[in-house]
Amino acid sequence: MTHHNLTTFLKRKMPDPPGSRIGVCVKGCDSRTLVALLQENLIDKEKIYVIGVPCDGVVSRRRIEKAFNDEVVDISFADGKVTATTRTGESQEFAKDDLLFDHCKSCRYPNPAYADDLAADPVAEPVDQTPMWAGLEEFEALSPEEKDAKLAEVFETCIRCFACINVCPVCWCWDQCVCRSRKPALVSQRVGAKENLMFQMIHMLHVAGRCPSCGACDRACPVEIPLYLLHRKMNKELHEMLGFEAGLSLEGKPVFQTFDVNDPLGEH
Amino acid sequence: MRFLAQDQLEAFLGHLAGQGRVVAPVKGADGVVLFRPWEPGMAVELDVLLAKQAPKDYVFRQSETYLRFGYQMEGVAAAGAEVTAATDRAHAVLKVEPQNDAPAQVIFGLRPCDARGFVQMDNVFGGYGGFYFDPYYNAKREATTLVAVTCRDPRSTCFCTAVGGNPAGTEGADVLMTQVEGGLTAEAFTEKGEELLAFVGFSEAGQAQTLYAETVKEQAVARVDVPFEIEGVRENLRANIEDPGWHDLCMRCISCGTCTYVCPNCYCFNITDEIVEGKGERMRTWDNCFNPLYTLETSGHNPREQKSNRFRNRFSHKFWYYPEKYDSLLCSGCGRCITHCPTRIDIREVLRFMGSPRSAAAPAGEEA
Repeated sequence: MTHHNLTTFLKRKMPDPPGSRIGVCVKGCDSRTLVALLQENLIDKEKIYVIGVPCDGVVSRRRIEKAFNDEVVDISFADGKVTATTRTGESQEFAKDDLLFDHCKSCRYPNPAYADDLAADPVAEPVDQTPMWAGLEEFEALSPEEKDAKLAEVFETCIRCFACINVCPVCWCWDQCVCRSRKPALVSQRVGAKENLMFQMIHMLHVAGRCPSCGACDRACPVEIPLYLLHRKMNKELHEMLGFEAGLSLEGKPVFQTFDVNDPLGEH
Repeated sequence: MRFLAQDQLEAFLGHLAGQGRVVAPVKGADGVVLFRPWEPGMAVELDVLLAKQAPKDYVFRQSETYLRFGYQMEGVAAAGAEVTAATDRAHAVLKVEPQNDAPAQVIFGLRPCDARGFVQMDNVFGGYGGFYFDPYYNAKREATTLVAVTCRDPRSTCFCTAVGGNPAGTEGADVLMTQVEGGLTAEAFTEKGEELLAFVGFSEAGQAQTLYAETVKEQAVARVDVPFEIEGVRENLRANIEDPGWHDLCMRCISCGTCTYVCPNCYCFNITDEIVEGKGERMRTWDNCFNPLYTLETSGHNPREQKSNRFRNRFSHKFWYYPEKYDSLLCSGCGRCITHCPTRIDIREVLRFMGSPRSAAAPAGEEA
């Protein structure tokens, strides 16, 4: 299944001869980012044609590559198995389930939330619809000091290439990003754990209530920073406080654009 | 040729660390290999061919403070003291403290392409008779010794030989080490390099070890692909500047800076003053030509407004304008931009396509 969330390419104005539509293929999670954008009227529904691709999970290329010192040159799929072969011909078989991204393992929405057409029959949705926040348990178990230390360690390696935000479909400011702006200089351009974390926090808050944890930022990061720690945590909080999940249906509204006197947050 | 037994490596690095900082490729808990300041007990990762990022940051810092400044009050009378004519002249004085921190360091375990990247940057920062001499870059460059390690096992994305390099190249390296059975052979090419090899753990390499090292080098060269012919690329890039093909090539580019920030020789930077409560710093930070602000002019005009214009710049700079100015390429063929690009844009593909003759056609379509 494709690695990328292709809806990110709808952010830019594409060459569009009058009357033409842009076709886009979306997995379950990709479709939720698309729906989030449609809910905010950031994309014109009439200008796109959405081909939904029911998804059985995306395999992490990096997880395969780390199993070898040599370069992986071939990856093939058959019957729930993944076979990877290196340049020197060394080959290893993995169970596909072991290679899936964490958020794919606990995915509750494998079928597109919105599509004009489906490329295949919908896949079975998991019976257990309890939200799982894979990877967070370990982080949440830490004390505040330990969390600080963990985040400092993780964000120290950030190279501020902005791949995470540019690849993010719901990160919409694009050329006008506050984190890149030097006039006004609102965010320090210094590269360091603290400043890098600040930049990520801004990204996280800007996509709060719009991010369905598609994991595009995680996959794009050249130094493999586990960005899900922030985004999934935010989504978990939104779900627990407000019972909200981003991009589930066209009729829905982004959580921060609604006001409801019966808001469950009132009970907190 | 000298020889260092594997079990002497830690002692050698410890010896170097006693004289300054040692930077080496180290594998983190998450399996990511990066150049990090080395400390005793850390394992140096030489089996993974390329660290995620070139060690450029240790000489050309991603963010570097040029100077600190701020106002300081002078002529203020002490509390309670009588104001006299001399002390009645309180005034703020601008204090400026230039910064240029350049600790002695050894970068160990970089690859010949990484070392060559420094040589290519030297042209720009003027260390070697150039027009513009950059004191920040050069202070660090002077204080740095490069110990390169031969690429025993080049990857399919390596193309150093196509751009005039070599997996056992010595350009820019003070020492070249080669992994052989039981340890590493070492050759020094500069005085700085000779000094390092004076470490007691080194012995004269035996005939078998020398032969082994030479074979590794020869085999490595044979394993590097030559994906394009460099001849004519410069002229063709110039001829193809308005080619609509740029538009198609850049379609999947997300305008991030990954390729330039992992690159051993992309050197563009920006200068910012960051001021908080009257105190501030003038700082240089890396910039990249994919950044829409990179060419934004004060008037509001942006000569490279379209993504394809910015995309074209990276390749044209490396293979056309830089070569025209310095008679060398600005690419050492490490292939990091290929492996780390989030959308897998391949510089080899771009050069094969735009570096060969193409018929002039209608200008590219609009894209933002």
